[in-house]
Amino acid sequence: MPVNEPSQIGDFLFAFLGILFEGAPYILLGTIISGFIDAYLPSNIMDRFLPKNRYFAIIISGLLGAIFPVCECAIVPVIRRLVQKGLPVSCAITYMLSAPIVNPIVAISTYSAFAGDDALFMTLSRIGVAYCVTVFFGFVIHQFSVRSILRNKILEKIEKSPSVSSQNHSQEAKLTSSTPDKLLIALRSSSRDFLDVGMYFIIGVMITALYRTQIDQSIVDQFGESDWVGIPTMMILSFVLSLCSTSDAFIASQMLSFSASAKLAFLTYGPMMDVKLVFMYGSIFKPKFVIMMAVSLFIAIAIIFGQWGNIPVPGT
Amino acid sequence: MTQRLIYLLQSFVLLTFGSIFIWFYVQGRIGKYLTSAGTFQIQALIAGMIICMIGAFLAITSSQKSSCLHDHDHDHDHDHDHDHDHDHDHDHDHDHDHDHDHDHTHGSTSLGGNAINLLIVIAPLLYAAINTPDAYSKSWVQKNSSYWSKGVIGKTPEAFNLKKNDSSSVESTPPDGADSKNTDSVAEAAGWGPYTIEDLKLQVDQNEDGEFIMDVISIFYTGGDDEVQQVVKGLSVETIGQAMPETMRNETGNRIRVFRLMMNCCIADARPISIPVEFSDSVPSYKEMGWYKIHGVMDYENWDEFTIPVLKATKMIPTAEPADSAFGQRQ
Repeated sequence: MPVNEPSQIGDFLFAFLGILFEGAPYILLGTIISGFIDAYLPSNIMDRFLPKNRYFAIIISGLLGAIFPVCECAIVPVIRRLVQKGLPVSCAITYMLSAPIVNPIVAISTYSAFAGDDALFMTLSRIGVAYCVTVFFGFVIHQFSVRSILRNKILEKIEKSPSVSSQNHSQEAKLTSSTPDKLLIALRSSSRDFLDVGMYFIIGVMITALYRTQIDQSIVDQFGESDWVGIPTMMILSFVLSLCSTSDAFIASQMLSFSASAKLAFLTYGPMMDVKLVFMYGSIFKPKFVIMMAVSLFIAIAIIFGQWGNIPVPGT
Repeated sequence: MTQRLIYLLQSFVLLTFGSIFIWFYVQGRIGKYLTSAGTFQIQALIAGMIICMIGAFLAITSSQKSSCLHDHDHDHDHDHDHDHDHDHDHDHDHDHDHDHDHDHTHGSTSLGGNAINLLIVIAPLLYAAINTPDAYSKSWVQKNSSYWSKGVIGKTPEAFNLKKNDSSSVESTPPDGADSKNTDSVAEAAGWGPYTIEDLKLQVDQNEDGEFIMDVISIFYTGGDDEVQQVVKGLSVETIGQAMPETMRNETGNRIRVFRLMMNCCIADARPISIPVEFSDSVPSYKEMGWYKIHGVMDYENWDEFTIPVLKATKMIPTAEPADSAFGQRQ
């Protein structure tokens, strides 16, 4: 039985546990998939399935979320492993950014949240803009050197991969590895990934819980009067709130002070970049790249929705 | 040896982590953190069980060596502080033959690095699990009450649970008899006819005195539907909620606010949804944040562009906190 009286610290602990209980199952799912990819999936298999033309591959990667719907928490460990398995970084990032939005679950939840007025418009705008932005971002990433994107730790692992390095003993080892041995490897990898990504997740959750419980929401409402202020405010809010993409539309739809453009910016930026994701991305990408990604996505989405113009606000 | 210790430490952390999830679920406290709508609560239980199973598996197999596939995550320490039982030159550049069965550190650089990682994972969770009050404070409610001067935006009858697509309700008000002037587009599209008292009776329980038992959130959402308001206005209702002082449009001082939390997924995204409660005389003494059962008659007021439901109270009595103290999203 709880023995603690409600207090400001208690509010923080209450919200912290709430986010953790909600998010951890998805992290676990992602890390189990990641562990089994590690043990069972041959290197470069993803590359084999994607078109040879890299730009076309990026376009396809942006749609993978429709087939493999994964939320933003679960996708990070999966992507980390797939990159190590040889998935091109540009395709991986496109999939990582788009999948939490361009998927059927999010489409249904967005439509439900805005049901009544402009639900279809809001849903299609969210998915369409997210897809275009992530594919364009993938094209840009393709021009970058992988060394400037990935952490040295990840690069080392890719280089050690038999498909990349001159070593080829691993394929042989795979053939001779027994199934129980692979299971052992899969579960050890899963637990290691869970604890590794979990560390970043917990740091992000603490910051989010701090914001959600210690900031007076009426202060935030004051910024909704114009799109010039409202759009960046909502994007910053989505960054700090770190909501799950399956439920954020229900929160956005109730933010009465903000325009539809600002709400769409909130719904598009948040699943791509938020506090907990910044820490989780840090387990794959170099800090400079994470900052560049956060800033460039912010600017791109703000400009797009700033120009979205006279969107009829649902309910008016 | 070091590697085995790391596995055992990881196992301990995973077992503790998973046990906390199971503990909250078994105690029924998970309902205060995750909505009962959807599968969030059962997901937490399953996750806790799987984490515990993986932790136990790690402990059981901690001494077991696996053959190295070497395209998996093994950024082992180049200081080689792990106990290799094979005999090769440690200045190598990874061009050695890996058909041996070695036992190197996977995933982290040292015992110290692992310990810090594990501490960050488990310490905040353990502290929060022990010290959480399982409820928000008055201060949090005040910080999140900026919407209390506003009502429901837009025509959102589907957000109002009384007007759900209930088959019995549809039968009682067939679309053929629908008056297009009195039905909104969503209701019409869904095949709902005009909303009647019969629909309300089918969907809402009544107490022994014939009062409709409606939760605060349902009452709040009636403010978004003119048709429902016509039915509900003037009806006697019973509701349960937490009491707070009314800070808006309360010149005569005979009003309080009654709220319930509504969460979409978890308690961190919860919002206090409230309605004003008006007493004919002075407000009876009450405890802020206390739980009360309130009986009264429904009325509505226009606050700017919003329609705000107001409960004209006839009786307010303290009551126990309900099991589902926070509602799930009504979608």
